[in-house]
Amino acid sequence: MWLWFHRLGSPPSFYPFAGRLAVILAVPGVLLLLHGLYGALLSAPADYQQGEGYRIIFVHVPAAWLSLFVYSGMAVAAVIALIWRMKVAEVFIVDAAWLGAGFTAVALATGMLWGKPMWGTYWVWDARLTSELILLFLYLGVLALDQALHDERQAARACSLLALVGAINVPIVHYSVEWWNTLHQGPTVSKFDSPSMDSRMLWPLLEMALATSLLFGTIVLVRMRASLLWRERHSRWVREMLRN
Amino acid sequence: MRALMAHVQREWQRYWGRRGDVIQAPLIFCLVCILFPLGGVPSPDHLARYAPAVIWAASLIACVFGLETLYRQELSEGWVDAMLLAPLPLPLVLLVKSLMHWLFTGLPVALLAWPLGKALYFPDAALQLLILSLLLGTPVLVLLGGIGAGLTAGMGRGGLLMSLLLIPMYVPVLIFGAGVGVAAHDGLPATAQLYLLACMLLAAIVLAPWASAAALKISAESS
Amino acid sequence: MQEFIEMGGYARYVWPSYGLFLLMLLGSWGTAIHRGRQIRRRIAQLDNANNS
Repeated sequence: MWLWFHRLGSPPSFYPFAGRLAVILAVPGVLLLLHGLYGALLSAPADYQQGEGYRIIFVHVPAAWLSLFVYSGMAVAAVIALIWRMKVAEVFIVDAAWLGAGFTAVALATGMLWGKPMWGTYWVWDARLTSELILLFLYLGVLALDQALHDERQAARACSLLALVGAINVPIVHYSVEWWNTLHQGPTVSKFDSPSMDSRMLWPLLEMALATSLLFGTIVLVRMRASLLWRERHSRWVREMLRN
Repeated sequence: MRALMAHVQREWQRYWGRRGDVIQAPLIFCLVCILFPLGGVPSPDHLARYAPAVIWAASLIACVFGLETLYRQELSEGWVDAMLLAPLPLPLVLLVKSLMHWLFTGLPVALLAWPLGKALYFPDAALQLLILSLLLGTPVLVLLGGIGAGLTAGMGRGGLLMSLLLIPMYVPVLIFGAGVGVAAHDGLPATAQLYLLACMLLAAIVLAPWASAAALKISAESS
Repeated sequence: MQEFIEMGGYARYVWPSYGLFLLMLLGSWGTAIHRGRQIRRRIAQLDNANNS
């Protein structure tokens, strides 16, 4: 197990493995996405309170879920990158940050599109929306730091440290915003809190969440392959592989 | 221990020597506070309502501005390399440095909050608590800021990037710090927020210097 | 069909949400592949420049 982990950490053996894994994840990802979309848009019944508008949830929740999941993945990779200086983990952090920022932006936008008909306004200072907004800035900080440092090695290590510090910060931000919110928010928000979900609604939601996670895996692997090639452009394995 | 005392003394002299440079941060704090009444309605109840937010946001901005001077001169003097070889552990060195930096930037901000709070018509009893929150919160800002300053230390113009990295991390301090002022203004107890700020301060004293040291080492690696 | 597109009057909010979500997924996938190709080309150019 340890040996396997160690071998995968080296770019020449990770590169082909990532290519295969990307395809393995993409096939069920796309199929699940299509089936999930069918379920979300057609087979799930309309909500008795929110009508058809609740269907936004099927894309909003996966995006919001991924935005948090990706950041925790970055934190794990940051620990690996800082302790073992593993190149694959270093590359993962920045490539995942791009996608994480995308998911966060989508979660915010869809949250606002859901809020307009349900709350009557695009933006409320709701705890979840606000901490999602701060999360977006944490992602953008990692990306900006990576862009600002020209030495790739140094940029990767700096981003690892920042991601780790940010990961400690995310729950603190979340709870502080929640505390602040309960103090100032009226009781309008909980109006649509449904106690339990119909299984015809729950299944498409889980499918969409799983499909999004699988496709995140695919896309991040494709990005990582490109980043690794560039990082290792002076090494022999890249030269030999591209020559063939 | 003696090495530590000598180090504290040296740091004091460094900061005293460039007091004219460091004092810019508290001045920024005053200016930002003045902008709000000028940009809004200068009536007592409006200003008093928003005084905690104004004072805390201004001290956040002032802190980020002040942090730009944290390592700037040190890097050009080769101070970082000297400290890596010094007998004292780097996190301890940075803890001393952060506290000294706070003494020259954070403490004046907390003291200036008194006249500025009065100018914003913030009630006296609440103002005392708000200043207590600044005394507890601004060292957290400086300690966390050491991480951002360390990460951007090697860059020519790291200040803008540093604010982008730091301000999201400052959100919890702002929420609880300004929360003290809001609660005190409304006549509610603010002890919970003050305890939370004290907790953050302790956690920052224990943890932040390690992260700052790691950040500074990364910046020193290839520059 | 018409009913499906109207989404019970919520079409203005539902379709942009799905559009943004799919745009983000497919767009980031596409740019990732494109970036890979670009990087391969750039490395090949570097290689040629070194050899000649």
